[in-house]
Amino acid sequence: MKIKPPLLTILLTILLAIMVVIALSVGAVRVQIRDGIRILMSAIPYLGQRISLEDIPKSHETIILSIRLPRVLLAGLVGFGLSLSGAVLQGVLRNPLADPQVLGISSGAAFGAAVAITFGLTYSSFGIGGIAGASFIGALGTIFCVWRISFSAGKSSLIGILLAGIALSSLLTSAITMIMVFDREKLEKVYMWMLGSFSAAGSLRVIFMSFFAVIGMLGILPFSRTLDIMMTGDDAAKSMGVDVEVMRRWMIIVSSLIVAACVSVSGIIGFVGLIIPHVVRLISGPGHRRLLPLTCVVGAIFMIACDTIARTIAAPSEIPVGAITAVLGAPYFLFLLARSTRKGAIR
Amino acid sequence: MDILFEKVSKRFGDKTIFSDLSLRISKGSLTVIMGPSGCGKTTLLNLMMRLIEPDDGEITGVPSRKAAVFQEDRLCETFNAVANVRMVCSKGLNDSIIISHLVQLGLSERLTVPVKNLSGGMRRRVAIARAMLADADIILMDEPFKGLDDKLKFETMDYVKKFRNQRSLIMVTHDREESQYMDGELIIL
Repeated sequence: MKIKPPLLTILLTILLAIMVVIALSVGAVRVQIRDGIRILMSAIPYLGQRISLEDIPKSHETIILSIRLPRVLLAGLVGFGLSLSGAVLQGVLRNPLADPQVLGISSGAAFGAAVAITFGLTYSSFGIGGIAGASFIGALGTIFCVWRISFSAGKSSLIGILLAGIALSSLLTSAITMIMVFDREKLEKVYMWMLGSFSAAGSLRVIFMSFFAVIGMLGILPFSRTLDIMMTGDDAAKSMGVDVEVMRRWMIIVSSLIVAACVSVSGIIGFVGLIIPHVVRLISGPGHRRLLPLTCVVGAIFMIACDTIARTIAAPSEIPVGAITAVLGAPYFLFLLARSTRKGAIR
Repeated sequence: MDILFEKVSKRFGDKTIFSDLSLRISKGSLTVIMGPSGCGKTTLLNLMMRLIEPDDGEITGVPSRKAAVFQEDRLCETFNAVANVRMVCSKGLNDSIIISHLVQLGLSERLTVPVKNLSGGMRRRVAIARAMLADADIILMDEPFKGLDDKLKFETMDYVKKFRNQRSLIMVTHDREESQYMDGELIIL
């Protein structure tokens, strides 16, 4: 049965809301789902005044609103951002294997974080600690280098961008290894940061990430049709009036900013930016007008689900969320891929 | 405004494609450019599309809103025929008009199939429909009927003539029969 796109969007949005409520309710301290909904609604201006929380322990209110809600929102926003960036990079680089890691952004962020951890940068500004700040700068610095290497004489080469990203990524990964070898005391901290986690979530990080999510929506979604046209090739797109160079730079800048923000607040979470757009493409078709919004929603659902599993499956310990995204996502993706190949949809 | 080539020269390495070429193409005309292989027909189209720049001389009067059929189809492989055409149309054009054009080109059975699964001739007709329905003031076609059998070729040429709608159409071919049937202003390189 083929579900029409508007209905699919509604169903996925409902699923996202359900996922948020479930994620808020489960954890080391279990809260009834009904109570979770009431606590959540009590935080809504005007509506909240009519909801009584007298029969719910005050601690539950604190757990849900101050601890879990920022974490769930941050996970959702990071899932949103990584998936959107992945879909855009796959389109703009015309490469199904492109994802936020391929341009070296994640490695740049990890290098920044490793340097910050090694030098003990612990200051905090606008909710972003020294490590997160350094990783954000590292991510942007890397994309700037990729940019300088691969864009020359006002023109870009697709293969040049990818090769520059891969080469810089390898270089930075080696540098991180060196840092870890020479400062073994910090090895575990750097390694755990690289595996990704939302344990440091807070409301300021949510605001920080929301800002970049809005930039992503405003900077990318209006150009869905242009992304479609760019998939026909540079010459064809130019003949249709698309300024390919300008659009490619714009898309890479905006998606890099989003990824840099994501990585700085959560560490490196692989797999999502690569796989979620492919999974959604199997449902929505390849057109970016449908693909991009659905990818954002599915990315958010997937990341919230993975983070909920990461913090509950071995509670009170946590499993790195990056490990969960791969363990859950890879088999499902392989199943979809095998099914599509059998039907002849992928060649 | 007519398209003017004034003393245009283009070289690729040591090879001079043309030098001091001057020509005028009237606005709203159907122009057929003919010549042997390697004489610079495609280069001429690429210059008009600004995909390459002339080494010397000046080209003026080419409308900014262009549509093109390249020698290769350059379609979006995973999109179906309707979606390939839709992405270049003005927003007011609905799918029923696109479908009616594709049906006229004999594609009624294959409208919802990704174009990567269509035959070469079908893909060619999708590329032609995409150019004809594009929100453009000039249509540039490079060997557009290549790969079509005789019956389809003439049907498709009729379709192109019918829906040109007074827009400038510049077509490159080396087939004398095609140039005669299109009955446009002839430029021989």
